[in-house]
Amino acid sequence: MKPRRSPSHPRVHPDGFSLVELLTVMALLAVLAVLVLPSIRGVSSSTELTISAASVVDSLNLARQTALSVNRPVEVRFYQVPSSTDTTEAFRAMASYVLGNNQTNPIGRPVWLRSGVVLSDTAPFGTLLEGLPGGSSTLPSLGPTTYSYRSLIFRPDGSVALPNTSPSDGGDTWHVMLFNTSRPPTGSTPPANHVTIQLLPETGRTRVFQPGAR
Amino acid sequence: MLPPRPAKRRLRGGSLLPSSPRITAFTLIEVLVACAVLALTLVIVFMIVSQTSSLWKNTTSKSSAFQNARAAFEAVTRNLSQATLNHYLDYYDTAWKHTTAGSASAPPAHYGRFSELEFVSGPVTDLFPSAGGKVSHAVFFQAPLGKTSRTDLAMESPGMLNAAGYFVAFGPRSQYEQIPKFLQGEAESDRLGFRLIEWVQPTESLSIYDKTHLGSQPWKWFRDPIGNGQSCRVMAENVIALIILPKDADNVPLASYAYDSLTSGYDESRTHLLPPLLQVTLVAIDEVSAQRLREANGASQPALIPSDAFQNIATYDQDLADLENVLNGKNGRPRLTYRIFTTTVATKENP
Repeated sequence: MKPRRSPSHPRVHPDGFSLVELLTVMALLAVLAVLVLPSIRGVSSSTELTISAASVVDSLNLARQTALSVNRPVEVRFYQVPSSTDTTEAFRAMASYVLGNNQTNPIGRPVWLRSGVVLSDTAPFGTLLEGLPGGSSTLPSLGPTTYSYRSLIFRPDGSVALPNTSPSDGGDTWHVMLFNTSRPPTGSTPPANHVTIQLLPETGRTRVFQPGAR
Repeated sequence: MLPPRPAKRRLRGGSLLPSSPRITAFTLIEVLVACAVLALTLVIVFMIVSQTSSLWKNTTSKSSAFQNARAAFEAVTRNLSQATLNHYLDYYDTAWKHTTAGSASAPPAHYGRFSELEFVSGPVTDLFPSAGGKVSHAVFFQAPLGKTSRTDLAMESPGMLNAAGYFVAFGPRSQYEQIPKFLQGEAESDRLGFRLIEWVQPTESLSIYDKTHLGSQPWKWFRDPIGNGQSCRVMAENVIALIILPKDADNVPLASYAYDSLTSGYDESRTHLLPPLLQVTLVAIDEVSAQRLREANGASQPALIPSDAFQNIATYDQDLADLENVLNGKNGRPRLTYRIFTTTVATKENP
């Protein structure tokens, strides 16, 4: 079969790329990718932090609202679990339960932080998780293995069953910091990208601190 | 799809013959142009996305800022309308000084109104020995708000008496509320700004009955706890002015902003009485404007309210217009988005 091409267009180039051309293009793409990727990574990690913090705040608010509406104490548990990409156990999940007379009823499904985001459990960043009592239980989506958790209780009037200040550092606030495991805090310096959620025990409300956010 | 190329012709023609079919492949230039166009498109899309998200953020922060200010304004006016002096008739001597029934040195000669409670409002320069970041006006009163930090008391009596007050102060966030210690002093988390502060003294630590404030230390009952930062909380961020204008029952402004129910002599129409009407004005800016102020002023307090404004009750309208000019960016200042809330509340216990 003869190609239907007009003979008036002379053939100028050999067909296909030469190796040098291909390498040039690949090198250019590589340079562009190297320039762009770090900033995209930064944007996506801060987005994941923001989303995770929003889900923590939302589930705390939901627990408080539920305690108020059903007039029952509600327990919020922070679970120490591995993630799909990181096998070390860290505080990455939380679940809420209505405490009844004999049984505990879960409120919705457990909330998972985005991959790579964990809750700090050491002072001065995580006075809340550091000071909470613990336990261990299974999680619905993770089979028969039990995981340890720390928990707090919202009272039916919306307040949290905690003293007004945490015992850490002579009366610090109750707060927990979310950070990316690739950029952990160094010593007592928080990482540049973090979200801190403060819990006010008197009212059960939260306050969010995020540097760089307007 | 390209038809299969005759291999023979290619092998034979080491050089390209004019009659050979055109081979369709991209040139390097074409690929580079395509890459450039792709990059340009990506940049444009990214710019549109980021602009949309920043617009979204600005709009939501703007509306939520004024939501908070409005909620605070409503709480202020609601609590102010609850203000009470709970006055009663008591003995006064011939010089109209308060006295007791069995007093030998100052025997009772008249009946008069009396109350242990006190209502004070006026410019902060009058009410506090040093401003310490406070601006515009402040108001202090007693009201049955029922706030207590003791749970056993809260259960028993919901309407217990509290001393309360409102004022606007400039300073770091940690000045009037507790924030995580590792964030204190951090410019972005512990940021500087104007805030509406609510002071509600719990029932069990009420200091109005401490009579040392009557003699040499007037207003000790609110000056001392506020000086120590006790029982204060931030009601709303970015509130830059609170103006309390006392009026008589006919909606006519009184002679002066400064009002104290405890007068030096006995005045039948004034002593131990609340002002019949209170016009409350609150000026709030949004978070974007506050950020602009921080960038323009650094760590120093922005001079938004002219120093002599809201001192003379007769020039209230003019002072408010001047403040609006400042906020609108006259004289080369940054232009700020602001909202003014104003209403008149009637107090209880008018004679």
